[in-house]
Amino acid sequence: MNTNTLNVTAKQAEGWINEYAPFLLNRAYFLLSNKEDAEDVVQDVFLSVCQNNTTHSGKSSVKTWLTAILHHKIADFYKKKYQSKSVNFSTIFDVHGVWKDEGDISVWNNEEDLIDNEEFSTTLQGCISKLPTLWKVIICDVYFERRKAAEICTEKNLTDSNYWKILQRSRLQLKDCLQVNWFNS
Amino acid sequence: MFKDFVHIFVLSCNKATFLIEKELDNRLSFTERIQLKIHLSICKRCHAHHDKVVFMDKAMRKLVNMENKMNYFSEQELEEQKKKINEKIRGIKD
Repeated sequence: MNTNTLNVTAKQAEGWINEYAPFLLNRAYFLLSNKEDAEDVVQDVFLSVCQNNTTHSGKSSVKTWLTAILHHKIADFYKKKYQSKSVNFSTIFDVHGVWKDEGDISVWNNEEDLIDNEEFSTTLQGCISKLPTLWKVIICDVYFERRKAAEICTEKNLTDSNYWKILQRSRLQLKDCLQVNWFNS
Repeated sequence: MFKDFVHIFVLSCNKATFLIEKELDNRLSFTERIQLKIHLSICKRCHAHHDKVVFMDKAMRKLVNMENKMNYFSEQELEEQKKKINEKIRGIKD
């Protein structure tokens, strides 16, 4: 490879690796639930940055930019797997769109106090980590990266409707997970 | 009777829970807003779901403050990984 084409200097790369690799590794693990996969994809992020497959536009911080590349790589890998099938609601709603199980009209108590409760946050995080990878990537985009729906849809090649369906389905699963792991225990 | 009519002709529970997500994004049309409002006023199940979704949304927004405490790798593992990545980069740079 001709080194003249490389805008990212080795020194610059080293600085980024030092500063952001730990964060990226943890985020990748959260999304993939596997250390080796997380290590591979983070290596891949830095390699593609150094090979100038993507350049930093300066509009966002380096951390935001690297995180976007990471999410993109992970989503890209899982996209094929999910594209073939639509989000499935058959275990939750019947053919008429009515709830299958009757009766859960319970109210969660002390909600306001829970928001700043660390133990609760850990449970919530654990529940998110059990979702399928592509859904997790979207949730991280929305809640951790604070990205706009339109942007996420364009990048992931999702229709608005599919995007909301993924959130709808994720939320149903999260609700059940919190019910079992927090509110019932 | 009225309840069945709403579920069948106005909005199913599946569609209502979908619109709740759309509502969080402030993207409901005027008609959808009315449909959802009517549905939630007569369907206890979806009403309960709605409250929980609003709460989860709030709680998830706060999670970002927690993320720095997510440490799946030990210090030693992180150092090893940094070294590994640096070696790979040097490999393509040379």
